[in-house]
Amino acid sequence: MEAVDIFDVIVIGSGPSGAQCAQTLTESGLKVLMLDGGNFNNKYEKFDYSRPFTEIRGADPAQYQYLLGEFFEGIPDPKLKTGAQLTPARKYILQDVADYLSYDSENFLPMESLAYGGLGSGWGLGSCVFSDGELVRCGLNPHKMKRAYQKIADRIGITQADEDIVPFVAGDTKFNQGFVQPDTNHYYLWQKYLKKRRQLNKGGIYMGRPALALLLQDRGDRHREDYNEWGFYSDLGMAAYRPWITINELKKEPNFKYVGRAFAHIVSEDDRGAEVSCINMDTNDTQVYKSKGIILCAGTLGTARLLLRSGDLKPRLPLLCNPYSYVTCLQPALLNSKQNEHRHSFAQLSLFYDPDLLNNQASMGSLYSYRSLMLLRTIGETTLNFRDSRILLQFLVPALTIAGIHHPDVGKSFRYIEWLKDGHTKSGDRLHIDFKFTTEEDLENSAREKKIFKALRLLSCYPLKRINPGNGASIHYAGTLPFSEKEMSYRLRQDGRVGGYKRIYVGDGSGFAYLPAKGLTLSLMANAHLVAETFITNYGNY
Amino acid sequence: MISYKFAAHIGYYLVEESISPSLIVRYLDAVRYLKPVLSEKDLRWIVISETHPFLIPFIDGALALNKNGAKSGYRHLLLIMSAIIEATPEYADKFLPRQYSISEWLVLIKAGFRGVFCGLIGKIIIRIV
Repeated sequence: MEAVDIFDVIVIGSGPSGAQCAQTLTESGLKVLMLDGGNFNNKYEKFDYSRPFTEIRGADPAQYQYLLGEFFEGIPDPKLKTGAQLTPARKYILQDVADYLSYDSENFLPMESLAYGGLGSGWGLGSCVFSDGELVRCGLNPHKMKRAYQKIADRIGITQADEDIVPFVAGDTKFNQGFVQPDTNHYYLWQKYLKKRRQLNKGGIYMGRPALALLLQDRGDRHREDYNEWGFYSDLGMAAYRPWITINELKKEPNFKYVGRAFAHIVSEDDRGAEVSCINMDTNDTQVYKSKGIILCAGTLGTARLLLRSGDLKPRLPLLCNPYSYVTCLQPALLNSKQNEHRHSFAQLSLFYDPDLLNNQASMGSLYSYRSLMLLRTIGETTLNFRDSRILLQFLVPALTIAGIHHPDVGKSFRYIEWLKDGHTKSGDRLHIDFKFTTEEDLENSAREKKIFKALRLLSCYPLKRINPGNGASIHYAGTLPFSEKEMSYRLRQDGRVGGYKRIYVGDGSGFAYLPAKGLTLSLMANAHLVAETFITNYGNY
Repeated sequence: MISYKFAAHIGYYLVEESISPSLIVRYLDAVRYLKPVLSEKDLRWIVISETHPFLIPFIDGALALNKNGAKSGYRHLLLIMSAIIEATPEYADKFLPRQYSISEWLVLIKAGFRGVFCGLIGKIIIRIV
């Protein structure tokens, strides 16, 4: 073991929470150390992504190397669900997870990451603020979060949302990048919505161009979106916000140090300071880092693992996860239509279903086109043989919309995660996860989906096939350490401090006591910024 | 275990023309890397596909009709070949979205009916073989 410099603060994790937390801390002048898995793979960045997707498909004989992968890892195994949607360029997001973030479950398929940028390296960019009511239910302070939302929006750049969905995605926060342009079939769908909006709004349905963490204007080294449709494969130009963009900038600062290939194993504190014991992922050696305080931003499950491993007590902890399904829909009017060749790959439209019209428990749909992905990702989903499916899908794809639907999770039933020793893993442990929705929850979500499908049919967009990828597929996790006003172990104070500790804080979503259906990432980043501010304020006490 | 002959047959089946030897080699490399899990039934269907390639659409169609069949090793092998062919400039036009002229709509109608026919008859065939 070898102790190194003492830092003012250690941030664990480089995902959206960790990046924003670290930025706030570094800007304050504190000496910051980030410990991170840090996996990254830029071997596919050498390919030319400067031309439109369809042009490359018809021209480049080397395309199979980056569309399918060097080891064909981009061809999905029909039996697997987790990570199946990752293109080869993004597969590094799951590297080492089986060894260090092991789990067992009969009913939950989590996705975690040890990547540089965490799960943010594959984030769909959907950005939403939570309403005041949702924030209070989460255990967060609306006034402080509003300030934090604006801070983060200004830092990363977010596109504007249409008026009808502003209450759901932006509230009072100003998103400054202008409107992202939807592709042909979603522009058509949106125009149909505008003609029927009154009727739909009465039923609690709202639709509009989404708020995405995507630049539409050049900013420093980051270039505006080029609408070449490579968003699932490449971050060329850095139009899409990725947490590693922030960390790359922080590395230029003298008071910020980044250590990768460091798996944070145990955290501890005493009157003199705090300590993180890490496993070097290359050598398996243990390295110890000391600081005045620690902020855990390892993701809900990662942070829970760390604290359970480090604590004497190993209780079962609760878990929130948005129910998620996706539906393939068809707009017959667009069959055989000419398509706009220039488009982006991300969500084309956002849809909200707000049953009580109070913006406290809306369900959210993100509508995507299929075109930026290869047919290999959908050809196996039809009920026809591959040959004829291919022919028909060529005709159908321009008129297809994929709607990914999230519902809120209030955690009615008790689901839990449990820490178990496991000598077969490099971390020495695994999580056991038991997660089931109640029949009542399933029925409610089913009723919500029926309303959403009805609205889509009204817009001549017909749901064809619904797929339930299983619990955990939303990749939205929270609530393992719910906020508490009391000082209790495995609970967080509202300022992010872990109950029972003086110097250890949590900057990710572990404390959220409720999980709205809206995209979680912007709220994670805003909360992380506030936790960093709290630490800065309290630093004098350390 | 997966032969050049099988690969050539399924390539022909998928795009209705012979595919190049280089694509077949690429396919065999992919299968070696990905190691699809093949049951006894999958192995039987592979053998039948080599000797009676006209049965491939029926086996494929039958398996597509049920949840377990869709995830079978045999279908995984077909998916791999489909992906290999799709990621080439020569065949991009057979996979990218396109518009159809009125006269080409017969191709679509034929594919629809043929697909259903292969599935239904295939269910009988795979019970026999």
